[in-house]
Amino acid sequence: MGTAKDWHEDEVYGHQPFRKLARIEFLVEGMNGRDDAAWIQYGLLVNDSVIRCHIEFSAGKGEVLYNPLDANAEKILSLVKAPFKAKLLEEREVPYSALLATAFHFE
Amino acid sequence: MLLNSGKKEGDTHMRPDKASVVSNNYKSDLPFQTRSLCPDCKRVLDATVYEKDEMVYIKRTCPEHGEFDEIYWEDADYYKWAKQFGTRSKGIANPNVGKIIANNGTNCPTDCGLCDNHHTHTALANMVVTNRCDLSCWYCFFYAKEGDPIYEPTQLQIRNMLKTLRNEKPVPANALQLTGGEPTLRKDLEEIVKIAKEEGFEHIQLNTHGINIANEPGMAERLRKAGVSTLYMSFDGTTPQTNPKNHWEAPFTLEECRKAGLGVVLVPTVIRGVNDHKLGSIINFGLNNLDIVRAVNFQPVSLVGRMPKKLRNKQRITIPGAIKNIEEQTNGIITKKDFFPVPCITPMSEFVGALTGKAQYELSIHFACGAATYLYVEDGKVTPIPQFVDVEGFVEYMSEKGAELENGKSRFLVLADAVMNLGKFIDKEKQPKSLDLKKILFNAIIKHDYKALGELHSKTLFVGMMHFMDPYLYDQQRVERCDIHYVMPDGRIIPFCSFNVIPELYRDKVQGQYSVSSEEFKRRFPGVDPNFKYRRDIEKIEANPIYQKAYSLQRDFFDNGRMISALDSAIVRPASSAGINRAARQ
Repeated sequence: MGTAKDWHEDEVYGHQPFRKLARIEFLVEGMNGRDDAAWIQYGLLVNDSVIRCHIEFSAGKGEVLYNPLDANAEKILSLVKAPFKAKLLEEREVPYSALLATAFHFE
Repeated sequence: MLLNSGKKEGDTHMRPDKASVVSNNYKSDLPFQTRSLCPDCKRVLDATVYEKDEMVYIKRTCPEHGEFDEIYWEDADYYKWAKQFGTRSKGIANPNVGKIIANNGTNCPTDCGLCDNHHTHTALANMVVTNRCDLSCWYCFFYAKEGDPIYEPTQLQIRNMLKTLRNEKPVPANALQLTGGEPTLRKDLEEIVKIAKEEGFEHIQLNTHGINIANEPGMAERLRKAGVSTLYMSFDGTTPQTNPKNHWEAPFTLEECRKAGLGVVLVPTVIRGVNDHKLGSIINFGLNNLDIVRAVNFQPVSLVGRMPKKLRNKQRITIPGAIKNIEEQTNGIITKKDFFPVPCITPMSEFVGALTGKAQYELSIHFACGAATYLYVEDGKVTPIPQFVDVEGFVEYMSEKGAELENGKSRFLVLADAVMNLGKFIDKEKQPKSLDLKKILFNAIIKHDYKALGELHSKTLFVGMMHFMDPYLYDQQRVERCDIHYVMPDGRIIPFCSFNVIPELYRDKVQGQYSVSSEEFKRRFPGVDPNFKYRRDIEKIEANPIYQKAYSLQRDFFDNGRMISALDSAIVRPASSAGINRAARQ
């Protein structure tokens, strides 16, 4: 149940469940409209390993931040089910605190 | 047609609205297109809001699960009248979706936090401080069951969330609701309240069943001293049958709040066939406790979870249906015409904003989400304020004055004009003798002194309605305008009806990430049983004079002040079921 955690104390954000996330960018083939983009996005987000996701119909692309402790790019892309198809473009590591820094506003 | 603040279509000074896939047809005539969800699979779908049999419905078709056609509002004419009060809004200038990935809100409502497309700032911020609860209400999804992980943000996490809310731009969040689970189970609740005060929140309300406040004398006083402004207390009826949750303890909670000087809002969830025949008696109960009860805020039920249509039609009630019942159950003393959509207040905020040059709080939610009225009591007589105030005329007047200010007209002249004309919207013949509404409005608008509104609140009973959506009547237009938000420990701020209608993406998902196992919780907090459940001694409670006094003889404000018992059915007047029967036949 749930995604794997790596509890630690962050100097700014306190007790946090993740240290590192993986970010992938991928092409999505087969979308006919924004309904499809939202549907693929929902299918990814309900997976515990997926921390953030956005699929952009107009660009034909998707981005996912996932927990690398219990998933990899291949597993994430396999969550994009037929008739849609995902093709990996890029993968990199992102500190979780960098994500938090874009959400919290301290000034 | 008035669009906002008296600005006509085509006016050059009209503030640009937020762009989104469904906002262009906000306030359109029926039928209009919006976006909704499949209640079964949560697929985002194009939807139509339309009129049928004098009611408003929302319809969409899922390619996998078929058509869903749901009651949206039970009175089409009332809907058409209410939409004139829909306003444009500021939105927020600093979204918090976490832009490490692109997210422009195009896949609403699966793109939350507050995004570039969101229309409203946070008017009320909810913060879940625990998912523990000492009750196990069958219909509640908000608490940890036995053995479930426990979610309790640390004080540092809480402070960071509060800072984010306070740094919303252009309007910082100023009102906070601590919720759960049951927030009074946290031993450090007073410290959390103090942190919220330190961060600058002026209004802090506690969403609670009130039982622990009833059972722990002094808690209400300590919470008030820490900074709690209001107790937001669940109260579904005056009888044990309609309110099994806290019927027995509520009188003691009120008594503790009375001693502490802590105001209470009664919050009934309204379910057709369960307690919709008791709405009048709940208001009457509030009026009998007007020294401490500030408001009754009805919440028509949100039907979460899968439910067959027949059962939905049996339990479904929307804002017009609840208002109709109130009219019947108060012998017509409170009428449909007394309720106004929440955003009708926005022109007043805009006027003050234009006058001061400072962005003001706006309650610019969708007109179908909430409605309210004020009752003034004098010598046992209840008078809804709209019965002696021309609310529509006043709203239009304030819109015009706001537009004049935005067009550069002299502040002094506009102000003088407003002061001169305030009185013309008040019928002095019908105004209760002890009330000087013109003076209160003067203080609020001209001096922008909100103590004046507080003064009005202390002399009246606010009766409100807030209908949170469920998957069956989900309308993206409404969620884009939601101003009741949740702040999450990952920093995002989520509209209420995204947080609770799609919990697998927001509430449950993120609370799951930040939860610890029940065993770990016990190790961290020795002596605290995360699964503790409250048990009451009904006989002992019912023998107590405080209980007896609260429910025995009350004045019936809606039947010439005769004395009645809140426990019997004397005040039950027929609740209409005509609207819902029409739906049930389909």
